[in-house]
Amino acid sequence: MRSLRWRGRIIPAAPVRTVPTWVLLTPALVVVLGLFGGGLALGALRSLDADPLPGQMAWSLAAWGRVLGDGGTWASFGLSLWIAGASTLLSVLFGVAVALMLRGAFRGRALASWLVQLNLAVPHLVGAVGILYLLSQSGVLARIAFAAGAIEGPADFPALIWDPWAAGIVLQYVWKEVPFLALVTLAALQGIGRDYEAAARSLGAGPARAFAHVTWPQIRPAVTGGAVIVFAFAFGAYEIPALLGASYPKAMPVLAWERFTDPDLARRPEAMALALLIAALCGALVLAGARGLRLGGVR
Amino acid sequence: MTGLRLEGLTARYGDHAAVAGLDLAVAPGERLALLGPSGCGKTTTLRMIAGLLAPAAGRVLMDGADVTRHPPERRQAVLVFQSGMLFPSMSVEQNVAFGLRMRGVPRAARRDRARAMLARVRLDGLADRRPADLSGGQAQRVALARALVLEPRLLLLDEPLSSLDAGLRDEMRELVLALQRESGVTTIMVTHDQAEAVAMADRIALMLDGRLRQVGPPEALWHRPADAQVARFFGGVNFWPGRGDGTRFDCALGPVPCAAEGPGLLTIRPEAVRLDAAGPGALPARETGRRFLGAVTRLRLVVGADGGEVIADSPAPPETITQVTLPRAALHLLPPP
Amino acid sequence: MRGAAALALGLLLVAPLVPLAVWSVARGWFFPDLLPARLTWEAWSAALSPRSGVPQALALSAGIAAASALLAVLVGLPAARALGMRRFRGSGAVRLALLAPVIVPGIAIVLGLHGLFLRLGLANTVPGVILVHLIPTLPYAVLAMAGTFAGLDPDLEAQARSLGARPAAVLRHVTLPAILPGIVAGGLFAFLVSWAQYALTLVIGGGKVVTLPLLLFSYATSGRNDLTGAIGILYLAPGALALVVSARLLTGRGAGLATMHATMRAKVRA
Repeated sequence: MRSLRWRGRIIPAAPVRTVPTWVLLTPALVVVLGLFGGGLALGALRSLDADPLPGQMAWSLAAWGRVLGDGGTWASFGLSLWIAGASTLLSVLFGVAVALMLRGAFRGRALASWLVQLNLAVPHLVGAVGILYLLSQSGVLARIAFAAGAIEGPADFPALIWDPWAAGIVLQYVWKEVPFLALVTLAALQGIGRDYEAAARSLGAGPARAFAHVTWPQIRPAVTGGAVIVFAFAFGAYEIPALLGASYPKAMPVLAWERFTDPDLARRPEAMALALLIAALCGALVLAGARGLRLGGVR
Repeated sequence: MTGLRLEGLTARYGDHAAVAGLDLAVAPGERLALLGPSGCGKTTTLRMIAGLLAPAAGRVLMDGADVTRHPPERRQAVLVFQSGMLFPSMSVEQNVAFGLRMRGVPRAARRDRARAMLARVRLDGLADRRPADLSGGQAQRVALARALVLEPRLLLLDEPLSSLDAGLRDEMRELVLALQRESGVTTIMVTHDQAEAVAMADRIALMLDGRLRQVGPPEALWHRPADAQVARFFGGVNFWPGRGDGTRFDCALGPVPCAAEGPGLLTIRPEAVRLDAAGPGALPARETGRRFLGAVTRLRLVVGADGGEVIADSPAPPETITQVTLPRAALHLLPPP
Repeated sequence: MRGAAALALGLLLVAPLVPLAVWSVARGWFFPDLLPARLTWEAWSAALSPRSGVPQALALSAGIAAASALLAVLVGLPAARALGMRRFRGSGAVRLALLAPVIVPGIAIVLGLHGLFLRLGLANTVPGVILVHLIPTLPYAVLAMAGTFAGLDPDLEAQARSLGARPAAVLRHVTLPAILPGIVAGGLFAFLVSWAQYALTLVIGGGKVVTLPLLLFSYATSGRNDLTGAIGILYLAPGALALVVSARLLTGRGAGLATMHATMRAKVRA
């Protein structure tokens, strides 16, 4: 006999006739697993030079050999790791700080939290174009630096766009993801309330230790979950490094797209292999995090 | 008026039997209270009668017809939930008219009947309100009106008073009783509160751990409980194991004069213990504690050489107590534990 | 102190959007000028004329997003009910299956799908793009709606049954009105998620299906800064609008879509 759960109480309410759970789940799972799983599986086959659709089942590891043996692949992999790692770290640091700030009461709090939310609604690509016009060597910041007499021409302004350190890309992600992580953290903070912290304070902990020992452990799962999302996105998004990235090394998604659109069709399996590398890293991240993720049910 | 019979009704969650082979008959027009602590299976039983839960085994019969496999909308056994469950997107009147609408009653007719029903629960002015704007007591009355307007064959009430404040409870209880008498609908109510069951029901069916322990009029369960658990549920506190020979009962209190025969637990309700009169059969007693509980004061007394304890409730206990009397008529022998 | 930090935060949050807005009304804004020499609506009138391709791309993006959102809601509603209201074995695995497409980047999936879509005649077509957008929109829609279902007391439906309503009537009179806010939120979500897609459209659309972000990208790399600025603002408008509307309409408490977006992702993730 099935039971339902609502707000933590278990209701013995399986009506006389109910639609089985698997029937309810089927449409969504068919679509998601069909497209997502199908895409991954077909990509894997094609990376092995096999193509099940015309029925070509011979396979080879040649494309994988070329991809893994190419120093350019690893330069791209390293660059994407750097972009994702730096973006995630900075976003978490500032995101938690902004959340703690927004939790308090101060003048302009409503406006600040509205701006944080507005930022979340801005597409990444718009942010990337804005960053381009703000940080390029003839951009608004460079002009301000010139007006202040700090530089004598565009070439004196540090290259933040199309640069080997991918500074513009990282700054764009930080700009977009700090608000996201701030709202995630804020929601977690509001979920636990302030009583634990107050109890720690009354037991003699200072604000920093109350946060470190009492508050942080409770919000850490939420922050970790948000960080996983940010990392995977920064690792695998195409349009941002395509717009703001240097020509070498290219970020992984850009490299994959380049191989995919190579006039030499024999390079397509290499694109598939690169795509699988991206999927593998992000998948590993999800599974590594899955232990800590509360996937058991709706709360 | 409809009679109800449950035969071997069983509900299982995994391996756990929430209701185990329940047999019960309810006479047409009767008010029956299913009484028990939370988790005893009484709400599960009510849901099976309503058709909201399919029994694992057993049958539900209404006027002798098997309705076990009937969906809820074919039973006309309307359940009124504890929290009212008014539909938030509808006005009060639309809520009351909902069941009529489901039966295809034309708009004008259901409007008239809903308004008339609202008047009977004294909510005439609130027809256009939203449920969110009602007080708890008003919402409960709307829920009751919504069920009664259907003139159901069975009225099923799940903890009808427990979400209300003490003051509203008396009012709501009288309203439920008045409406039930007017309509004569067979009513089964679930409650965990023995006082509520005693005050509202013709008969009480006490459930513990998924089984019926005792079924009978309130007085019977109150004065002649079937076992110690039933007695405890009704506030019993005095239990003395021992053996009787028809004239006296030997236990920790010493020999107690009474008609009990054989081994068992002797019990008496705390308010039946007499402290004032030194009559025949009085036992010497020593007070060890007293606590004022409001309407009564609860006294702890040591009686007899073996240190047997008697607990007595008295509205106005004397300053000093030297003896207690356990009236023979109030003594009741329970089966040994 | 807090005020100063908030001020800095506010400035940083709008900083990249300012040059975008200025460019959209600028004419001849060369280094090292801090402000454009002349302000003009030329870029805007160009953006609104069919010659630029912007109105067509705008309509196409909106159409694709609306269709994908509608499909996501319809396909996802039953699963949302199961996840929100029932306890069942494997619910964790189902959640993981729904979350994987949200986390794993689209480009990693869509390159493999391209061949299949080509074979099915869906590559380089609008229906193909709508379908591929379901990969990210469906999970978001399901998880958003599951949250609303979780807040629906199953006894409300049981009560309607007990009052004589058949299952279809319960759905119409009780369930749908109760979960309507969740459907609207889930649909709005799905719309915005589709609206933001780039790589999926690029690969499956094959350059034939030019949505607004694709057009924005091509103008951004062609040096038409003024037109790019105007398109950028057009592109962010629906999200901003949804934020303002949803803050009042959906929650009534000013929590807003963005917060819901963030908290929902965090809830299911963390």
